[in-house]
Amino acid sequence: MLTPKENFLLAAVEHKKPEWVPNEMSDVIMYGGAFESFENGPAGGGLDGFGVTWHATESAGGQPVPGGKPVLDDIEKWENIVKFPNLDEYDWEGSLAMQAGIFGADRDQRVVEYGMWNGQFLRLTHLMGFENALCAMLEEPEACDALFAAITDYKIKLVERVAKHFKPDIITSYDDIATERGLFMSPGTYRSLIKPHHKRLNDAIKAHGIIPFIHTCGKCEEIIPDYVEIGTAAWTSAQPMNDIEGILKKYGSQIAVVGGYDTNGRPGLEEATNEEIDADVKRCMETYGPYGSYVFMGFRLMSGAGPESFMEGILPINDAVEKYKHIK
Amino acid sequence: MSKIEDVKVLVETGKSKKVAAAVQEALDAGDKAQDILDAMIASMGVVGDKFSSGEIFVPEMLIAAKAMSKGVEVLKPVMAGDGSSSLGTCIMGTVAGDLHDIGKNLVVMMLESAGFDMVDLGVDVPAERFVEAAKENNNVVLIACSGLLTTTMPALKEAVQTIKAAIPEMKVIVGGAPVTQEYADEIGADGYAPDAGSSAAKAKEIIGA
Repeated sequence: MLTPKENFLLAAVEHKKPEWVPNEMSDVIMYGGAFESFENGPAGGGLDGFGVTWHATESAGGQPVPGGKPVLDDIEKWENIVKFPNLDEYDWEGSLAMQAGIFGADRDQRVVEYGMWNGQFLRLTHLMGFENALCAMLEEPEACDALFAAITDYKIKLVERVAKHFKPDIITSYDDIATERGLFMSPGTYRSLIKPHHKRLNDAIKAHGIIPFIHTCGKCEEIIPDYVEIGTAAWTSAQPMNDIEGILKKYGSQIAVVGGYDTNGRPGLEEATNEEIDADVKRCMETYGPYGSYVFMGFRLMSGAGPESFMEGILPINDAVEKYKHIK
Repeated sequence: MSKIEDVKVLVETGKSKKVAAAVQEALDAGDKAQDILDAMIASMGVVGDKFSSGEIFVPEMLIAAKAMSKGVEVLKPVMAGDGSSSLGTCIMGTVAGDLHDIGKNLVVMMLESAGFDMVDLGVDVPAERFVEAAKENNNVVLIACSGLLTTTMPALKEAVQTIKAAIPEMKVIVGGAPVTQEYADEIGADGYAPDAGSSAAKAKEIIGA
């Protein structure tokens, strides 16, 4: 019998049918993400390493979100204004020890994944505010491209630190470029302005022997072939406003899908009943599981920013996964 | 191409750095300010339709609205005191517990471009605040409430019902990703727009403009 790690990698990296449907929320040791204070500011809110202010908010379940006066008004002045975090000031080993204490370190049994939040597009929006960032991409594409390149250079330095200290199997780059209804920008704008930087980051991750995943929420099915083209092993966190089944049929041999659960619907709410949770997990297993190249992922938006409230939200989901993960 | 046609093309293509000069040239050539404004409003209608049909995306709509606003800046001094172009005041906000402002801001731009005088209450707006704002401002003909989160849909209902209880004749339009026509009907809203592109046409329809 395979270990959960071997089973996960069979689906997510080899794009084959695993022995059972792996679960991102139990088969993975997830490091990084919210713990990167240089990316998201300190817990409870404050300045990140770029000078962007983050505020803890009730509507985001206590998670800090970027806000306040934009750091950058005029994209053409980015070189004089934008500063990057000093990654050498960060206590990498201390952070690893702390995160391993919370999430565990059984690397033989579970996959180690490092979440690198705030990708190139998201960082632009954090620096400029969403609307100015979206305008800048059309009005000053050359300056945007240069800033994306600089952000990618910084991310590549981050990958070097992560590879050295965390030694993950997978790095997931989080760059949310879609809404519930479609991409924020046209596929053409994505391809000309963002995709080359996503590719360079993927290449840098692979150069360290690490597997690149890309995350975007929302409806992004139009650019799945682009994710394939730039060597992305898996797309997370796939939400069901996309034709996930169609994607698995067409691209499943080239890219894995991690997700499926209706995190934006009733099953994703704190007040979701166990019956609703159970039904949506069963739907995922029955609909997507048979194709292989699929990893279940589901969570709920809970009150409170700490890992304990997050865990409380996923426990009934994980129970349902255990019940249905062997559906053929 | 006439000067007004130049202005229309520049608004539709979002050339905000060129619109002001083009509007001034149209004025200098003898075009009436109202005609230029109407042309820009028509352009934004085209932009809204293209957005609704998926032909263009949020950035294209944003730069068009930005271009229109640059053109309006040139027209304002010329049209000062002339209230004939206004459709009335619209109060808009994202409902309590919801901090999302992109969709709301897009609708503000589209309604402003259509001729409404907009009062933007921002995000996380308590239901009572919509009522207060309607009483504080002149010629309020419409209140627009936005909600993006499934979890804040009850706040959308509360906003609509609070407004209707305080000012029964006030027209209310709602929108946001989880909102549907069915839900808008259920909570007693006068109208619903599925996206920012169609919001201006729906708002005008509701007030009978």
